[in-house]
Amino acid sequence: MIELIAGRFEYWMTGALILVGLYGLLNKRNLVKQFIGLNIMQTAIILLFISMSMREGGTVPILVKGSQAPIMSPLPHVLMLTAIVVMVATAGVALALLIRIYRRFGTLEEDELLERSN
Amino acid sequence: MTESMLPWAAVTVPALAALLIARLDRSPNLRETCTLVAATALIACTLPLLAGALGGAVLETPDFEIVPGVGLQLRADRFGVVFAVLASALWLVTSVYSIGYMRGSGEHAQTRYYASFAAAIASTIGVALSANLLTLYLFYEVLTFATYPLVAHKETEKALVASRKYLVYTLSAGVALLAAMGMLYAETGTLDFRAGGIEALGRAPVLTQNLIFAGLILGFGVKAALMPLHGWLPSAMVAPTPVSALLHAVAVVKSGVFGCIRTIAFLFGPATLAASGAATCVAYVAAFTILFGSVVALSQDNLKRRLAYSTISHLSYIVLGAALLSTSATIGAVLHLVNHALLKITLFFCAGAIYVTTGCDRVSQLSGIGRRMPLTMGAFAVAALGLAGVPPLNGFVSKWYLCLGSLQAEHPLLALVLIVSGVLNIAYLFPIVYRAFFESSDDFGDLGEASLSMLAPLVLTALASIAFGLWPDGGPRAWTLAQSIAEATGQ
Amino acid sequence: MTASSAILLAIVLAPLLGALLIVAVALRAPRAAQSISVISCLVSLAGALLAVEACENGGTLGYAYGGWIAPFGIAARVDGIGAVLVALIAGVATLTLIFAERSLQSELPRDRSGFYAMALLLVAALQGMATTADLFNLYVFLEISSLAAYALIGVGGGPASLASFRYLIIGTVGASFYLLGVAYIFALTGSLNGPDIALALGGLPDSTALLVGLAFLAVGLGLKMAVFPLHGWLPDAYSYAPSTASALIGGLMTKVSALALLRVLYVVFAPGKHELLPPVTDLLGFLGAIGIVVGSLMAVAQRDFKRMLAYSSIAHLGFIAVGISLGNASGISGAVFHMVAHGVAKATLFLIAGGVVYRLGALGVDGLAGLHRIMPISTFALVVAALSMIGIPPTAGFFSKWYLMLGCLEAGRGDLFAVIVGSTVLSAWYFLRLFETIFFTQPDDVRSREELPGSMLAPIAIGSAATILLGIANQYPLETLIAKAPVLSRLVEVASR
Repeated sequence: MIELIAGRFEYWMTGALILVGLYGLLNKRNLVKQFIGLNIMQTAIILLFISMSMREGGTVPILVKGSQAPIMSPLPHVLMLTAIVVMVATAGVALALLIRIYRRFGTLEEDELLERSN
Repeated sequence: MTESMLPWAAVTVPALAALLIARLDRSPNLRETCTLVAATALIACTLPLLAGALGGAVLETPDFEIVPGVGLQLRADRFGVVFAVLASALWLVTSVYSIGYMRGSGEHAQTRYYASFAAAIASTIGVALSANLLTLYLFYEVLTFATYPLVAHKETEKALVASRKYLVYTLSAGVALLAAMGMLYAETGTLDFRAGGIEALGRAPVLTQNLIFAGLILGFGVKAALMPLHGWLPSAMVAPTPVSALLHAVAVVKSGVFGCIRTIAFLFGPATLAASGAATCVAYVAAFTILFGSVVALSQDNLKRRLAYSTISHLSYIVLGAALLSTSATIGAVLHLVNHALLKITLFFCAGAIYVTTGCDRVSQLSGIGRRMPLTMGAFAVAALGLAGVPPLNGFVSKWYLCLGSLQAEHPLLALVLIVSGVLNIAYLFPIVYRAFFESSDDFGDLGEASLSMLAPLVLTALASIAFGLWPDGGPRAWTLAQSIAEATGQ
Repeated sequence: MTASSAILLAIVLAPLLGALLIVAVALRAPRAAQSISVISCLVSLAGALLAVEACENGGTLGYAYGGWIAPFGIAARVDGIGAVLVALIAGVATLTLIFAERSLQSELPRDRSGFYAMALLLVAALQGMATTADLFNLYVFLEISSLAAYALIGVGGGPASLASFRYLIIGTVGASFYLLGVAYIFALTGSLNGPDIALALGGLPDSTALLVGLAFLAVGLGLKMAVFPLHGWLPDAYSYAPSTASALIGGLMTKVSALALLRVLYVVFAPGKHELLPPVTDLLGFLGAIGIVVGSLMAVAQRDFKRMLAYSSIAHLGFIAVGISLGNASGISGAVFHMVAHGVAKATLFLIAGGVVYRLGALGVDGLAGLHRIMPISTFALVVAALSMIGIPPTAGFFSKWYLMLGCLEAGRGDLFAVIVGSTVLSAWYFLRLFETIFFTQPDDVRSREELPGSMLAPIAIGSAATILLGIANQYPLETLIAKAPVLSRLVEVASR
């Protein structure tokens, strides 16, 4: 049982964070809070990827002549840099849209928006 | 088989005419001229096709493969040529009539009318000359869309409801056809019409065969007004009379019947059908329709609706003939396809002439009209005799062969049905003639015959009915064609 | 640089460079934005046509970005199916951007250059998605295209920004799920290159992790594809966006996501682990069928023209989903050809909607009465495009339906066959109601004839002409390009094993 949790810690953590994010997305009325939930979800997935680079006893991913030590895989880190940029760009567009919504409707609460947009 | 582009020309001429007519809204005379010229040009295209088919040099277009193994192709075989010549000849006649009718009653949206008409004729010729089921399906669906504006022409609530009903029926029919076509292709890899049927189809599992047959007959049966799929036809009588005359007595309904015959004789063939017994089923449905249609016609006071039910009944004569699978019955079916067209169009022309001149559309209003419109009612009487199957009219010839065919196929009951129907025909048509000539009323004052452009066509078709009754093989040699079709597709 | 790399780069880079160029010159010369857009899309189209020619009869084009060969680097790969899609994207984009100038004048008076730049970014990303062979690269392009789409939708008036935000939330969730799926696959196989993963999967034992990874990939792409019931974002997003944006997004985005799903299922998973597919494909087929019915029924209920088109899109995506789920050559060919047929026809319809807004200002279906007297050519184009959506020969929509039907029969799925065949009546229902309003009802005020200006009319006319031409000439894309694509030939092998 302990083995099930501790051995797969990163998956449990990712799962928990994704659920937190989804909870924010689905249950919150305020659009900004929904967006924050989304952000948490994306971050969780990024963390999952990074956790894959782990190697037992590994060291920094720099090749040193003569050294046979295992190195942490740099590939997930690289990929996640791209993913983080995507996340930031998404945040930029989302926040710009939120500003536009606020200017147009005067509120960011979902139920009020539903009323005002009909 | 000789390769030629003439069949495509026959389809293109009315199609181009439709486009041209649509642009000629401002000049009605030019527009009408366009229709007449196109109709004449179409006859000029179809007559060589007829000559080719009679002479044994069947003209077909180059195959253009559009789905693996099946192409867009037209072939002027003997059966297709019968329908094509019929449609093209009657288009010219109906166009002359339309001019008189539309101008006489001051109808609106005449450009849309003439353009849709031309498009409908183009599709009908396409249906007639299709070399395979896919091409036929293409033109069949285009026909639905081309005729839709014609049914909805008057734009009244009633017209819109009728046109919606028409579309629901015909598009559902299209769905049945599509399903059957897909299954047929999946089973045999071809959709070509072959006299005597596709052999591979006979080897398919019986359930598949029956599903395909049911789908095709349902699909074609809607336009052919087989009961209980006939519901759209009486409602569609709300359209202007020339529409009812050509489309709902000739083009659209005959496309349905044409499709049924193509299914029975050119896709399945008598051998396959005799084994499964499906054709007998259709024969009895047709027989029921013949009787029921005639009976309902008796109760209709609206003249066009009475003619509509008569059409429903007579279309099933043709389907019955095809379903009997015997040589004489097939001859009768093909001949009746032509004869009924001529006779029914005469009746509708008369109904329209009466309506334009007197404003009457009910049988009960027609007392004494024979005195005022003797030629019109005379033609009506001739056509009525023809539909009842009285010699020396053409209707008698086709009926004779149908009865003979029923006996040949060992279904004497069906011959009886045909005879009873003849009596019923007299019952629902002759009171009109009697009332017109032998009762008198003062309703019609000084009214005379309808204008020449309406009168001439109806007299012409009535005379043609007499002529083809006396000389069944005259002119386009319908009898010879019918016989060779029956031989080619027979057992 | 070899010819194949030049072609692939031209397809993807031309719009991207165009976008950057617009941003660079927009301050000084705002008028140039449209010309730059159209030219870059034409360059992309030229590349696409060259790719089409190169991919006939099973050919493929490949390129390794930066010279790093797969699986160490990112690889681009175009086969017959990809070639058809990149041609579709470039073609629709060109037509839409030609149309855009006048339409934007009426719907989006300011910041037109920004719009063009975003549109080009969208096109570049879609081309990237269609040509890549790398799963993570697909994610990046997916997100780029989505961001551009959110921006394009969000600039519309009124509730557009709200609709776009909702789309953003749902779309990003979808992309995140996709990324999660990629994480699973990466963890299990150590590779991100499609064909390479396919090889690696063959050696792996079956495990729940694989199925979960596939599920995440499928759900993520399904969200982007608007498969029922993940379609909620679509109607609002398409209706409130500027018409040009609707045409571009509605014609292309969901199709490319569908292509991505197709690749994931049949290039990545099918060769090595095709026994994992049935749970996913069965569900996909089922949901696709429901989408067809629900989408069509909802479309019937709509009073707004663009909303009706949006629900119609959901229905037609159902067709594509069903085709993908069938897993045989006919079904997949039908799905891909339907991507093309629907893409062209729906884009044309949205362009016509934009034309109506330009001339008449409103888009209620009732407001369209008598349209044929005001804009006869556009109305004719509308009829043709609608007939393609209904599935009447000889338009392209009929032939994609034909292949889908055959695919259903081959796979023994009578239920899906019935839905596809019966859908003709459903599609006809809402389009024919539209025709009835246009042709047979009298408008309240009589307007004189005022056809659309040439730059708007030409794309509409070309679009509807293309619908018929693609139908009649369908054997070229279907038989020489799509059916011969290696992914489908391998399917036949797998099926016969």
